[in-house]
Amino acid sequence: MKKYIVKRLLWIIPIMLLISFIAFSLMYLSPGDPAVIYLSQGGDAPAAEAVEELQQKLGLDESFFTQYIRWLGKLFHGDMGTSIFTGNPVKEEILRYFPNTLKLTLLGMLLTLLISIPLGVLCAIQENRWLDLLIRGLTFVTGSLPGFFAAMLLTYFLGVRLKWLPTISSGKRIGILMPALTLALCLSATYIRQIRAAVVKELGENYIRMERARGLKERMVLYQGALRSAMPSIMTVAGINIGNLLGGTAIIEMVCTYQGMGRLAVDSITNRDYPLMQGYVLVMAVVYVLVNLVVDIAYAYMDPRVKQEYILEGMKGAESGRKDRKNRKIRSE
Amino acid sequence: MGEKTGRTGKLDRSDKRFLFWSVAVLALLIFSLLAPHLASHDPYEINLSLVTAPPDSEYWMGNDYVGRCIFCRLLHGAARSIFAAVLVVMLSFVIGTLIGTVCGYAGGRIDIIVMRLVDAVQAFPNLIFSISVAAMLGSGLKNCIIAMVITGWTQYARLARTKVLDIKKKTYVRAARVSGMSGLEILLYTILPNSLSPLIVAASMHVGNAILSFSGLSFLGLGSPPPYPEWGTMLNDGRSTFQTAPWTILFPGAAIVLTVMIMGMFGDSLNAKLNPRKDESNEI
Repeated sequence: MKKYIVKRLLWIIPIMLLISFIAFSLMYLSPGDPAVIYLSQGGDAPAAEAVEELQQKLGLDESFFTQYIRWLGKLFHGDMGTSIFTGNPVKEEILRYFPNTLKLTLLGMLLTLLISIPLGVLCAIQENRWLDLLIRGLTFVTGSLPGFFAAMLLTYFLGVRLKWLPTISSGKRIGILMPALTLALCLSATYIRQIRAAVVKELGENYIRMERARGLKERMVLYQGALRSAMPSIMTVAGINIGNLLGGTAIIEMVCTYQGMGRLAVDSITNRDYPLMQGYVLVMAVVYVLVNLVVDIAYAYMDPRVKQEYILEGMKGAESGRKDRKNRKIRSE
Repeated sequence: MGEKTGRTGKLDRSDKRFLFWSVAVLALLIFSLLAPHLASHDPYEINLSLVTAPPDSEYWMGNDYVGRCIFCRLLHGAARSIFAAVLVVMLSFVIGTLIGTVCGYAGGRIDIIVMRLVDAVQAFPNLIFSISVAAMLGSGLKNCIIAMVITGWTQYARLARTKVLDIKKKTYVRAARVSGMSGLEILLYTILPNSLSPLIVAASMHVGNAILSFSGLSFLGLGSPPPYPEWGTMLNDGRSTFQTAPWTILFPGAAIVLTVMIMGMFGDSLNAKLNPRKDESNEI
């Protein structure tokens, strides 16, 4: 187990380097000279000498690789450059908005679970009866909603029609609810289906029959037995999703005018604020990798089979397939 | 593959389902191509006396913020919204499968380098990566498609590679080698056909997501440029008016939902047909 974690941690280093390389290339390859963009903020086209001078000052006349190394060096000291648009350090901007996005993501995930667990279990109990079919039918609709459309619909119904929530999320504390509900609406579809499938599967297992035979109350069987066994896989998906969500909330944040990272990113794109965009992409990728790492390790802790699989997959490739199937065979016997 | 085992001539349930949704998808694609001919008005015609007018007998879905006919724009936008996504999936599929197959078959240094690249690309949240690439390339339909393919190919590469690694060890591949087939022939005639089914399933699932991402990019102004009608663009147009005129977003949004649903159902049915659960035990 220790070996697995160490290996997984060491793995992070090349991935991080590649991420930083891609993030840097994105900015390097973007059209438009940063020096020109910076100098044309007043509206007039800048003088050629001024551009050259700034290019030299910023080191933009050097080779790609030198620039990358220098950028990386600065990055290690926590310097992510300066936003062209606001003039503030990128680090500051990101630190200001990141907590908001984190809050939104966590609240969205919490609401999702609060909606999906009861509904998923309900579907499993009512398997193939009308309630199950109705809920599952609805999940097909909500699962196909584009986030920004869902955000607008909720804003219209909850904000304009019912006046329960403010239509603009920024400023007020309760504003977080609209984007969070949007997330929950879009995400819960997958979760309901997954929880339903997991619980249905567990309900068919022998130990459940055993517990029923022992005379345990149905509710106890359900929550203590089936749901509990289904939890690790659900939590894993939730964990991975948190990583996805942190980046995926961008458009929703924009529609709900929520002051988060995503909105910052979208604004930076409209303003052609490359350093900010780069900082955002970099931070999100790093967070995403770290979240996935934690989820992987946690999952390996819960399920030793996975640990073995992962190690083998990394080492021997095709070997793992065989081992995996052997395991499955053992399990089915 | 367990496809031919125990098959009688009759269609079973998963076949019927698959047939139904294939027809639905086909109908949708044909409809999107023919739709512009059904439009009753010019989708570009600006009519300031009808700004955000509600649906009526002449303009079935109302009018948008400059008084254009939403119904006509919806019909004209169908092909663009759907086929951009289909194109993204096709390109990602071909590029990813080729790269993944070569990596899995060749192994060695190329494999390691390419797979690390895949890891790194997948380390970025998908939408964010597409957005930043699209922003970097500049807005426009072509650039948006390129951006989506740059993120999309990785899943196919990874899947194809895993599958090829698995198949490479099978007896029939060894038999092909013994019988004197060259590396390329083995790749084309034995490995590739046998590794396709999970890739096709992945592709069918990808279409719905691609439609969502594409409409998202268009919504941000990075996809299909105005004034061309496209569903995501139409939703963006409706952003300033939907609080008083909800029909400006309701219909294009519903069109996206419906399309994504049909594509999703199709993917599910294809998955059920190609990978029935019992296959797991069949493979041993």
